[in-house]
Amino acid sequence: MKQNDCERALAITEALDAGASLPDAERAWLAQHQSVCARCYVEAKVVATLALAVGDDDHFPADALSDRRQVQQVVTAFQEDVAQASSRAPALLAWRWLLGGGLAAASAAVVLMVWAPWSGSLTPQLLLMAASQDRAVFAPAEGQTLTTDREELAVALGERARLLVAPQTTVQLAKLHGGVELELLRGRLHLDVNPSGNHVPVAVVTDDGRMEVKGTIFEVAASDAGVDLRVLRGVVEVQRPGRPAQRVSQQHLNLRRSAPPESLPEADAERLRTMSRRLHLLGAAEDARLSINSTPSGASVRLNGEFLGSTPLFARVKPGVVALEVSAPGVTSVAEQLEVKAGTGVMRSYLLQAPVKLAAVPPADFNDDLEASTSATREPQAHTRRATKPSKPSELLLEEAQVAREAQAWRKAADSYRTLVNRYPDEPLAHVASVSLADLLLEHLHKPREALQLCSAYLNKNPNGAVAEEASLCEIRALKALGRARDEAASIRQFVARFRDSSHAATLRARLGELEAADKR
Amino acid sequence: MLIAQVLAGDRPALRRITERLLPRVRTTVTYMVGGHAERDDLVQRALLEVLKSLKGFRGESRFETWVDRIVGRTAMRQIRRFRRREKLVTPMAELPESREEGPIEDPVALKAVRERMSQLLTQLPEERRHAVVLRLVHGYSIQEIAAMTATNFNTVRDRLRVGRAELRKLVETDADLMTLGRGRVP
Repeated sequence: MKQNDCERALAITEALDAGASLPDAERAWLAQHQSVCARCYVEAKVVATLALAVGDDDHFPADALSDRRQVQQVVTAFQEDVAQASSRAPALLAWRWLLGGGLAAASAAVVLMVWAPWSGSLTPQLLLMAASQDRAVFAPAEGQTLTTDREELAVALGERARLLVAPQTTVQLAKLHGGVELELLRGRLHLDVNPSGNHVPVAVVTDDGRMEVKGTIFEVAASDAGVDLRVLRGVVEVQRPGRPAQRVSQQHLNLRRSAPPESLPEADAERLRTMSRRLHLLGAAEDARLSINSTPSGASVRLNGEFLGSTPLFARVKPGVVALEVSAPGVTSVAEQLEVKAGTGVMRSYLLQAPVKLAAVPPADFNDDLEASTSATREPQAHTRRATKPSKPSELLLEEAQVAREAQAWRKAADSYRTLVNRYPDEPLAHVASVSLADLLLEHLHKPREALQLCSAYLNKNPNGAVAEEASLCEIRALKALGRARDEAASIRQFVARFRDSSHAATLRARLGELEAADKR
Repeated sequence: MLIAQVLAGDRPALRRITERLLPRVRTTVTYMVGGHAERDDLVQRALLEVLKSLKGFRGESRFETWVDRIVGRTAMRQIRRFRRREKLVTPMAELPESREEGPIEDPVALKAVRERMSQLLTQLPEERRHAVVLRLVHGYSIQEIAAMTATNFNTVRDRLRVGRAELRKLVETDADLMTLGRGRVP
């Protein structure tokens, strides 16, 4: 095929791009040329696959479940934004949606009255929604019934009280004016009420009596077996008709039974402490929003080491740098340091896969690092591998390396890069990863010799590769670190000749001047 | 109508519009960032941006055009952030190990080609990629792209010309894609 023909074809295509009106003969010629010329045929064919046709928007379809989750996350985040705006402008009430789904018949009723020193009305803030289903999307408002299925919800009631609604719970936000009144119809509520001032009375009213609670951490659970009150901190005064007032502190009381309060078992106390720690991770109002998804879902999300919930998870958290970890049995957990800023949102989706035993033998110089960083996990990895997939896609290895790199786990990142390079030596991704590995070895693991080998190998194989500039730079830095001044100067000369427009060219020319001056001396 | 319902706080309408936009947004974002690990996050960000901007839609252009413009802008902004963070890495998804020559309409082959093209597109510089995606994926004319990106006609034309040439070179050096042209004159 003549080169001129291909150039003519390109010219016609560009003219069409520019909206030129071309004679039919030209178009016909182009079609004819494309049908016989392999290069132009392939180009036309693959370019045609890019075009979005009417009704064919989905070039990269996902499964229905992940679509639904993605829609859910967007809708939730959007509603949160609107709710936040409406909390700043109380007149904007359009975004108060009631939860769908019917209420289960109440097996017991508890009215919990929180007489906190709030004046006027209160706008509750949804803090946490973990493993949520479609219907648990709302901006809490007075009169609203919160029904949880498998999900968990945390709601801030003003600044001084937080409510954690356990799965399988129905509670109504009965009153939000001049105090808060919650009606627990079934399930379990954990409350953390911090006193402000001397006394913050809290009243719990049931058919069996009335309980007054002062600033405290406590839990109320309603079931067929009655209403259980567990108090971890503070004092709860229980008043029941025909009985003297009873004070409950660090105790467990069943309101249906006539037995006296029992001391709080350590297991219950620990559970309440855990709940409180979780609630204290959460923020409100202007704090940051965190949205965590994973495939598969249901993975545990830990923040600063504390379990926060299961994916998919939405939470408002206190701003700052947090250590996030997403883990599930049988898969490689991911850890990441996140900076969450007030008033902003952070979304993350993780693909969790079974860990893989390192397959290839790394270069001899790397052995020390590898032993140190993988020996603790090698056996479990081998076990998991037998039970699951035989190998891990290169993309996932790269992702692992990036996650580790962000968490500044340099050796772990190097292991992932190295596995990728060794296992998929012919993939372009592996070539690029080899340069990333070299950069990491040079910057953080002080191994300039190995870094130099990797960069030189990359440049030999891919002289015009996608990261040739970065590889050349890395090579220069490695030579500098090794004190090989003449080689460094030679590499710089090559670099500035080849990457004239590079942002590093000026600095490198200056460095070259220094090296040449030193050489003359 | 749907937009008005969403603006009025109608939750089912909000869900419907999000469901309707998701495939288009995902397609655009994938061509912009390839198989990047944070693609889904970016899709969500772009969708959120569209929803938050809904009240500013005045019907002066087609709704899809307006959406594409926002998605493109959001994606480019995010790509720059990715670049700053991981400048050395161009993530790529894997292609099937071998592919028989066959009609490109075969869904598996089609998907593989699209994925490969999305990877190749990420190798173009940002502005050129933006122009190429808007032209080849969405079919906008150079005039429309110039209006959408607040750039003049000649600049867009040049970006497209160079971007196309680069893409052509990438396609030519891709052994997997070139198997599609087997049997034709090289």
